[in-house]
Amino acid sequence: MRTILENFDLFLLLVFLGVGYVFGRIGEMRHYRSIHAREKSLADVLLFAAKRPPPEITAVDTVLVSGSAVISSDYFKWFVASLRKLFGGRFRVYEILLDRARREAVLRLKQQVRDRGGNMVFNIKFESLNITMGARGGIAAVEVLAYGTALIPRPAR
Amino acid sequence: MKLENPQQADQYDPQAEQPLKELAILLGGVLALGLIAAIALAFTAGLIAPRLPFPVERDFMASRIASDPRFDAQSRELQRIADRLAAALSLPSDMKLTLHYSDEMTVNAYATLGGHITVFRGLIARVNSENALAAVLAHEIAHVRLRHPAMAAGRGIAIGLALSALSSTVGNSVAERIMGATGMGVLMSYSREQETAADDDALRAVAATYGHLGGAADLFETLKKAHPNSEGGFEIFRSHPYSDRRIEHVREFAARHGIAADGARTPLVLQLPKPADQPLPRLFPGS
Repeated sequence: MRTILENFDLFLLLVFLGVGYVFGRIGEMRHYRSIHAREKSLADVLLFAAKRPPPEITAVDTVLVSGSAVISSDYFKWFVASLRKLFGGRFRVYEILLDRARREAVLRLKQQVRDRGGNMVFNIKFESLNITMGARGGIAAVEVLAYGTALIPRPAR
Repeated sequence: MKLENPQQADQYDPQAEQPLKELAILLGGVLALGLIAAIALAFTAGLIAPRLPFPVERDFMASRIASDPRFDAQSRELQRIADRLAAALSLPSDMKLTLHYSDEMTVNAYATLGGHITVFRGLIARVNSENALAAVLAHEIAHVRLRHPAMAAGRGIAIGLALSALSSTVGNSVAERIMGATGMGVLMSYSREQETAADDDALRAVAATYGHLGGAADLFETLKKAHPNSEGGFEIFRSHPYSDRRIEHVREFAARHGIAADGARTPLVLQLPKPADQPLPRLFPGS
């Protein structure tokens, strides 16, 4: 007990790292399971970076659709990343964070398209925003926004 | 025109990620860098600290060490012997020595910052002439003259500071222990080279003061006889060269410099206080 109190900052660091790691891992696994399932079910909603649809597609309305997701880092990822900053190299912990945010944003966009009865999005674009809560060195969170023009078939008259 | 979104391969497999391994590698790298930095810092501090003027050391220690007034007589007698030796070593004029007597039975003596030298009852009880006691004192005075305590303290404080980059509590406790314990000589460990250098200085001083090296040889013989098998019993030997080698060294030194290896012993004037007189001695404030 004395050792814990005397080295309270080290102890706290270990607790934060442990909590960050366990919950970060659980959240990541769960999120990827959900991403994989929804990607399969929304696979028929097609995305294209082309600005205009091919001319043979007619009788559609165009609607702006968007999806955004904010995914937060955890203490463990922040700690590994801050060590990584010393040596350089791939920011793997943050690469995964961004991958999750991007895919989640796309899934939310696709869901909007499906809800409107469409299955195609043209001119798809991405924006990302870094959200650093509080002072510098705080836990980072990232927002990815996906938007595009959805083609919604006109209801037959 | 065919419009389709083929399934893309996953870039990340969460199952295959090994963030703990990455953390271990990165932490290992950081610790290695920290270790190198700490060693460099300690080395530099060890170089700089002895270049500080001696009065800085004295001022630093002034409030940290105090003599027990009950043992004034013993301290005065130690001081008398030490001052004779100091004159023989031609100590710089600003390098003042302060001798302390400690009533503990430890067979040891140590020098610390500011020219403070403490001799324990256990050591005095074992020597049978002033010459042998002078050999110990000369050794400690030599440490002071060569600024070994400053070097050791500088190193210790530098390591404490380096550790505080890792964890403020760990670093502070190390630094505090050194600051608070300089009087106790706990972290005053000297290298073998420093000990040998101090020995040579000490033999010079003893020879110049008493005309022969009999006391030094006596000292090592006495310590050896008292514990023939385990020298570990005496703290004075933990970091010091083994007594057999030192006895040999005394003879060599005498032959090399044309000094008498033996001669008349000066009887020890110092009277040990009666053990019943005092309860536990508290030599250092706050210890």
